[in-house]
Amino acid sequence: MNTKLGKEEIQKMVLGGIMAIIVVYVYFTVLLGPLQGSQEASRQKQAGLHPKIADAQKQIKQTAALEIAAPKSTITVKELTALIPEGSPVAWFPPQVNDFFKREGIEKVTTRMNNESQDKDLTSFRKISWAIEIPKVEFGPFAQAVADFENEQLLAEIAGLQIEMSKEDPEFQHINLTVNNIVKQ
Amino acid sequence: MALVLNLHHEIDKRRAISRRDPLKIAMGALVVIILGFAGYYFYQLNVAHNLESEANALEGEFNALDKKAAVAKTRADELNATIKASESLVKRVEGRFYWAAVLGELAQAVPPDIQIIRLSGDVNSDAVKRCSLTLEGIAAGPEPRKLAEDLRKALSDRLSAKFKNVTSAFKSLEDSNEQVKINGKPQKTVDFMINVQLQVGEEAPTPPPVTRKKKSVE
Repeated sequence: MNTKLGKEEIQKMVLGGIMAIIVVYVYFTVLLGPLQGSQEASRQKQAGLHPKIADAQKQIKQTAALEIAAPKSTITVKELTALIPEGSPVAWFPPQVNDFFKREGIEKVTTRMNNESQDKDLTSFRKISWAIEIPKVEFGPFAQAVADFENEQLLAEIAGLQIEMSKEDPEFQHINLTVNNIVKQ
Repeated sequence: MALVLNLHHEIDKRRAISRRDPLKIAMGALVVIILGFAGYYFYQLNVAHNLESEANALEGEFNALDKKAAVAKTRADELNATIKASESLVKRVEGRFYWAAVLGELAQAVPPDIQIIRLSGDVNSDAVKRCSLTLEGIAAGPEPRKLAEDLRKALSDRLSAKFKNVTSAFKSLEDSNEQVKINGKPQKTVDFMINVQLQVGEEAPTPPPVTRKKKSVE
């Protein structure tokens, strides 16, 4: 048997080899390449979505937990807010203070608004500072009135006081109070 | 031994040559390789399709959850604001400084021989309430300085029972030229000014300082 390859056969083989290389290259580049790119993109998409889904589920769970805990707080806020009358504080607080001290037997009380400020913790409320002047009162009834005021006015706090002996009548005192009150926004 | 003659040897040889034809073998191998490549391509295509389906399913799930999470976030913000407002309001109400207790103690601590002329007090608005009181008065008696000192001590003792970090100190204590009559007898007087500091509530404990371990030198 003659095993020697002719020139034409060698050319065919070389051409065949080149064709095979081109076919393999095209196979990997044109067919498999985009497929693997698509797979990688899908994997990355999944990897990106898993933490987002976990975060969303966590948020939903947290809100569900808050829904259980919140009613108590809502009731507390409603109860305390109900203590604040409607309308401008300057319209209702001075009469409220006058009525209170009248009930305590203390007359001629003057209430003026000093200033108002915003509290960073209480965004739907604001704090108003008032100056309350009692021109003439005995110490005993005044101390009793302060105790009753502190028990009755839960959203008010006496931030400062000044008690001065009356020169004309040493049994009586002239009193200035600084009261901070929380009111609606 | 019998002699066997193969009269088809020419035909057999041609068949053998045909079987070992390199072109035929190469074509067969090529077909196997092409089938392998095609199989692998379809396998990869299936994997890609599955991955894309899973990713799309996840995306759908996320889109549905994301809408719910956005609603939940808005609701959580509202609830947190309510809870925070409630906590702040309760803290504000419960953390108030009660002057009635201070006035009650003052009324009991001041003896009849002392007259308080002026009393002023202020409370800060921090979480830990610190109150500063200033009492101005006149003490009258055989030993008016001792009376004033007794008042200072009495204030400190009485207020310490109810408040924290109570300090009571004279800002001034001066003999006065004025004399007052007590039970018909003229008595010496002193003018005094006492400053009292007190606190309600506990300060938050300060975290321990972070110390670095020294590397041992070998």
